[in-house]
Amino acid sequence: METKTPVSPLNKAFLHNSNIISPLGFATEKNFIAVCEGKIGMKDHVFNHVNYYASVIDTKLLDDTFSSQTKSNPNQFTRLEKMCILSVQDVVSHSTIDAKDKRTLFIFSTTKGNIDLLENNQSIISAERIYLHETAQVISKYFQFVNKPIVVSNACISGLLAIIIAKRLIEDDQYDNIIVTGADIVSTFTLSGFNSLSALSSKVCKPFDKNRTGINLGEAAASILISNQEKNNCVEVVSGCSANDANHISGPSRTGEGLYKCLQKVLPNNFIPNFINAHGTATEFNDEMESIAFNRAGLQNVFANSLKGYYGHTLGAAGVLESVFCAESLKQNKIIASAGFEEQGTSIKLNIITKTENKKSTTCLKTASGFGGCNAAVLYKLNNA
Amino acid sequence: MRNYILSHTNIKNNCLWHNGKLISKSDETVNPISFLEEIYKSLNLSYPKFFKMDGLSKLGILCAELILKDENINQLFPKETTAIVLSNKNSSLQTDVAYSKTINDFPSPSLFVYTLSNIVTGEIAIKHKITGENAFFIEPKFNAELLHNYTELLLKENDAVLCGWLNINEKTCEGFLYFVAKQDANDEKKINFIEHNPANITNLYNN
Repeated sequence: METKTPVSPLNKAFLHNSNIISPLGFATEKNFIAVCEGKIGMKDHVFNHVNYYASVIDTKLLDDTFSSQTKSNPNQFTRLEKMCILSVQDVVSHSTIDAKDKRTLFIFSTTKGNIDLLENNQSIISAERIYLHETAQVISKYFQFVNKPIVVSNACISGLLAIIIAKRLIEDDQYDNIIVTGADIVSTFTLSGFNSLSALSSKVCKPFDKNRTGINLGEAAASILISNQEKNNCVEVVSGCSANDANHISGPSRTGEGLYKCLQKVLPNNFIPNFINAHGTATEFNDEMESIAFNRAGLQNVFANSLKGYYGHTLGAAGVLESVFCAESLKQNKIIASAGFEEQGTSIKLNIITKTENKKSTTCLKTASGFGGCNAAVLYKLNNA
Repeated sequence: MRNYILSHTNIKNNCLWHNGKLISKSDETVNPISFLEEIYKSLNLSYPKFFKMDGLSKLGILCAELILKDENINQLFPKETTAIVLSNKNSSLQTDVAYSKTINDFPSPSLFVYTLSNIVTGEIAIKHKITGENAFFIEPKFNAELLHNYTELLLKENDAVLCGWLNINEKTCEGFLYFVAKQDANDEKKINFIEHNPANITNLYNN
């Protein structure tokens, strides 16, 4: 085989402004403050006559905010579309980017999109919107993006993979600015499905804890502007990749094969990041697999957390939402406690963050793993001029 | 070194083609799943897991099989630097609908695990031990430019990409997978190589 000659990219990719629409707030800063104060999004909800702990956005608040901030009729959009439009609008309105510029792109990441259209047939919403590219088109048209959106649907790595794809397109000088939005809703479809797999926790989830019993689901839309322009105090997407376990479609490799492979690729020369924002779903197998992969890469002593204890698993939004937190943690010199963690619960002991505090960091590793055996990792670095 | 398409498979209108050659054909009244199961039998595949898979995974497994059973492809390219890049319109909608019908009775875990587009990626990866990069794109119709563009980006750091379009619903199924890899442009065998560009990809898709 050909010897690998590293191709140095034309450009670098930087994270600019962002947004999170979640039960903890409708802006990045509100979410970051809420999480630093230890607030969590999960509550007891009833879906299809069954009680679930889930992180769900208040419907009236969503509709009222949508009406007042967009002057559009909330009945013409689905729940997911409203979340996404509010999220993208916040990013666009706080930037100088032009949606009509050929050098601007919109990438949409989701696992199930408007899956609630299978359940409640709202009359004025076209049934076509069940198709993920139709959903992306609705959002794209709203902002008049001139380029067709790219839609990534690759299970729970979708959001992080969308960021990796954006990074590659920017490095290749195909675009100047890319907005990546990740979103999923909590639905009877996903709740009943994860419940059928016995993967749901009946209480608030406890990532990496000895007494963890499964995931909570959460809904969110998160957006981030990825640009080729470097700014002061801005985070660079240094490296990123994906890999498949080639082991099982609905469970991780016991030895963390795919994730370990990603870590080897994104952390050159055994580089040790300041902290890790792990996938940490709070299932027995996921958290155990991550501890093994981190240990194989020599990362077992690095500060690590999971944000699933605040938001639940937001599926296609998770990689974007959690990357927004990585960037804010680096910029605001904070490390965030892994909510729900009390006692070591993996066979390899990890250095799980138990207290949110001020700490200066310059690099952070973000990881994700999902059904279909997929894994992804990204290294972020704070560039301080 | 340049990027070439070394092999491709098409399943369309109840016909299976490999590198432009008709391999099997069924009456158009045969439904997609029955046709895929006929192909499975005709290929003498001994992979019982096939029957547990949903339609999308069955389609992907069969298209990939014809490409990867070729020793010139299977043995020459490292599985850890082979990527799988797939796309379709319907995501996993056929299985989503089937699963949603079970929700009010007994939600079916065996259907639910197939309610993600990229499960077929996982099935192909498992069968052929391919551990490289993955991506699944959703497009309103086959988009040769997108697949070509992303494959070219991946081939800067990887050896090969198994790429294509896998779309299925109750009435029709359409599968088109092709294998792209770096090859020596002076290689004598290049007479069989198809240059990797959007026009050639579109031609092969249209078969």
